[in-house]
Amino acid sequence: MYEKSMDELKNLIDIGMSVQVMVHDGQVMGVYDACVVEIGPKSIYYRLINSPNRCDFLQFGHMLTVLYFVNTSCFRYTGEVVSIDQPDAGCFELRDGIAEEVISNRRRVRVESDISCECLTARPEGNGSIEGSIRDLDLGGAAFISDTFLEPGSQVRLRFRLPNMALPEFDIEAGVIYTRPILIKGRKKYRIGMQFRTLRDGDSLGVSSWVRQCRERDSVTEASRRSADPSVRFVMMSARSDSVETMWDRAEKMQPQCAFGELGVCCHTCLQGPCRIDPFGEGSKAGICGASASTMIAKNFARMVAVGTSAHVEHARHLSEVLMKLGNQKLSAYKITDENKLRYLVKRLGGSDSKTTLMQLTAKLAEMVLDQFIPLRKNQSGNWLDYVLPAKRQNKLDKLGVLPSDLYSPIVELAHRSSSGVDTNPKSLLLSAMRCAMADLAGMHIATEVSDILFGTPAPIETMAGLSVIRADAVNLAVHGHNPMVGDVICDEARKMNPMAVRAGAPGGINVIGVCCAGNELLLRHGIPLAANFASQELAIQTGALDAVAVDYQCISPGIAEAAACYHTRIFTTMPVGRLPENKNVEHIEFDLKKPEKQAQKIIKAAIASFHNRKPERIMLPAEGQRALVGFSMEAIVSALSNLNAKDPLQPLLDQLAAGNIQGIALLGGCNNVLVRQDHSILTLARTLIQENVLVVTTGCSAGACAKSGLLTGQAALKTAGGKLRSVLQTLGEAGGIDGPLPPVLHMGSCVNNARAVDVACALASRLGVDMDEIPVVVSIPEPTTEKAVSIALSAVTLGFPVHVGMVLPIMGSALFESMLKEEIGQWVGGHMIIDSNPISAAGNLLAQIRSRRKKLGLSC
Amino acid sequence: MRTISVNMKLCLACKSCEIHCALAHSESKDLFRALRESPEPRPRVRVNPSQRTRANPAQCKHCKYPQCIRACERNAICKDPESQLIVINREACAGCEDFACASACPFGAMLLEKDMHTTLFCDRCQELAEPACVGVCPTGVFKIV
Repeated sequence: MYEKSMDELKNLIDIGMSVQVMVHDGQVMGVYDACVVEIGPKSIYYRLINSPNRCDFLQFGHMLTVLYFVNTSCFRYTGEVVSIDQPDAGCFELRDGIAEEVISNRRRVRVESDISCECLTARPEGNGSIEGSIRDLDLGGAAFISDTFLEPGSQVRLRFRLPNMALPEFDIEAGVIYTRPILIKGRKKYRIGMQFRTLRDGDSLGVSSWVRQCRERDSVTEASRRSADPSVRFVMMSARSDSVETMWDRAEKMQPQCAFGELGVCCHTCLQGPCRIDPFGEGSKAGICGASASTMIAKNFARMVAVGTSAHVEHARHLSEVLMKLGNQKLSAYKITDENKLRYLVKRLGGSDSKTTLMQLTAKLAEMVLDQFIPLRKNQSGNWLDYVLPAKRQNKLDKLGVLPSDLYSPIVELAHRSSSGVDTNPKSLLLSAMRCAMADLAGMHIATEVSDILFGTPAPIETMAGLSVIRADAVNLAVHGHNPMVGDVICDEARKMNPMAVRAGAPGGINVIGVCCAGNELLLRHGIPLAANFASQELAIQTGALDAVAVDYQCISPGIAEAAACYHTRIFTTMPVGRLPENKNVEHIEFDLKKPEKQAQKIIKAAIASFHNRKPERIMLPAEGQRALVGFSMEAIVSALSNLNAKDPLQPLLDQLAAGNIQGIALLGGCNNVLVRQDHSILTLARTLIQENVLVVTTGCSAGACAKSGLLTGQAALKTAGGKLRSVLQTLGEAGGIDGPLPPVLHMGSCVNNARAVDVACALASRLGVDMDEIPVVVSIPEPTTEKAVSIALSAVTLGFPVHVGMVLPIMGSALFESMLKEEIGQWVGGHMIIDSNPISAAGNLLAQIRSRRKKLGLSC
Repeated sequence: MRTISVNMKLCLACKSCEIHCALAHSESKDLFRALRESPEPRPRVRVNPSQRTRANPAQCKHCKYPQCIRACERNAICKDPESQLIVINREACAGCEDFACASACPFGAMLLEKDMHTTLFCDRCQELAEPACVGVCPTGVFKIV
């Protein structure tokens, strides 16, 4: 129960507000309607409304309970009568009370009808017994439905019986507050509200265990409907009484959502709009400018792709700038970690790596990389995609005109095309979007390679995942966002500042944890545990033990600022482009490339200070997390394979593919979407595919989901993988020196690391001498949310893969555009989109795609 | 009385009817000014989630045998003999704790007033030539019969 002080109560009530006064003298003597007439500094005056309009029944010193109904809650205020000013007018004054919130719709348990309650005694009708079913129950009272009318003010004894729960029968005495008729399925019944009388110890134990059990049952069903992650369910159930809103609560309130937007037939790009097209064909058939449904949808879709691409391209540019500055001057916080990759890239881009210092080489590469961004450059170095894609794919895309020359112009061009009155042809808009999506791929690829050079190429490393990685005994500092240039520095500094945290009273030191893709980047390189993926970012704060969050950009839900304000968690925004709404717990500390250590130290110090502001009663930490083996970059996979065949590492993989021990490769990428059960589609797809001997590689929040569920362990290979795949994983594991098989799902990294999966596919295609649309590789984005997921999906289609998208894209309002994405695009590039929100049928569809491709290659199925 | 028929299958949950209903019951009848009015204009129609169709635009049907009138203990709701519309006497309705009328309504068409003291429901826009919701629905869910 929440206690409210007099001041808090005064904020809730108002003069003239109606209340109910319950007179009790050990038992409820009567219930009267009253209203508030005056709010004094220490007391409240009331006036009785209905007859008897006198206060004859009151005496000084009488204890009265007043029930306030404020919004959906009920407050019980018990106080002593200190004055009866005008007995005839029915005014009296109460003082010295404590207000308790006794009934609140949010906190009240809804009890199903399988629980019945018996009314043993009833006054004034005598000792009649009535049957009914309990509707709502909480510690202060209950409401039940009965066929019989009960006079308000009656005394009843309730007997609680529970057929299905392991709880003892017990009796409790209560007073009827109200009885009112309701209709249930056309039959007249009464809803009877009761207030429990002063609880004896035994009673209160009974009621509270009932309430607890019912509440648990309620929240278990709700939580499991919302998420497949057990640690998320735990925190969700525990934090429910805190009534801090989560993404799921907001999604529920948002229902039903507007179908015009969902179908994509709403256009608000110009000031003549917003225009909507009636999908039933009765009303408007085109926008004011004349845009048909297909045009509107193509424009909206193109804009999504452009925005998604801009995110990845900017990510790549920020990293490239670090590289450039590193080449020109000394940056204390950054260094070249993977020199081999640096030299390799310089060579691939047409430079020479001889006779130069590392610094000059870095500057040279940075220049060549930054050249990729600028349109109409002098063409001194090759196009980035020339070195990524096999020649056959390049030719095909070049003929189609979807191979971008640089990274910025396709975005600007697409923005221009989709502006009012420029390109209104769905096909050419889609082709331009595909060109943009290829720039998105180049952006992801540059971001991946440059972050590998700066922070190291990942190799297999063991770590933990799930909300349980947040520790009670340590200063928990989460790194959230995408760009490792922030997270990596914080991670380094945290290691140095560990003793400071221990001195400050946190025996566990500083526990850096990851959220979303910044988490994935650190997970891969430093084994930093991953707490949450996209949907559960707010729940990490709701554990009550997260002391600070450092965010950079992308996928930062603005809801975390609100959630943090309800707890002690401090949030630090570090990038000028990634700001959060202002509130007392949000602070902006901009990362300066020259001295990022200073900012990192400031954040860590704040986290240590925030550790002491924890409220121990609000800490809810789930038990054990999941182990996960992560860090399978292209290089790591090749080095594992080279243990089998040092000369030609890809040969063993090809042999296994040819023999059918590995049917194909599936990439699971993308986000979380709270409109469906968190992680459910991702895990169902992963499990179904590995069962059918498909090797699954995963990135982004899908990788987070797999890590949290234990799919990234050798045991999962033994338990879940199909027999043929299991033996391959066993061989690879032994060759790689791991005790046991490799995980059946290989964690490749964050969402920009989709480029690693593309590298594997390109290597396979070139090795087989076929085009990308012939190899048995499929892509699935089971829970897309952001625009980036759309551009990733389109770039995978353009590369020639069948791409499953698990949420319905806003394109369904136009049959033309839908068939273009699902079928016609296949004739252009070989890939196509599969839109299916059922993960099981989607897995079947992807398997069929893999099999048909194997058949065409002449491989057995 | 104007009878409005509601075709739930056509409702796409854009909630245009909610906005324009609130607007029709505002002081200024102007969208941009109505947003800053106090008390805030409130809609008399609500687009609720529905199991069978996408959405259920709930609106008072002014029933022949109104359950809300039977449920009200204070006799605050009655049927206007002239217009045959259900009307509520705000003086008599002091707000009961469990909103007897709202929970008795089989259509969920009675909306709780923001300050939680009384309920609101469709008045068929008596002063307008056509109820606001009928005119604004882009798919024609509401039709006067």
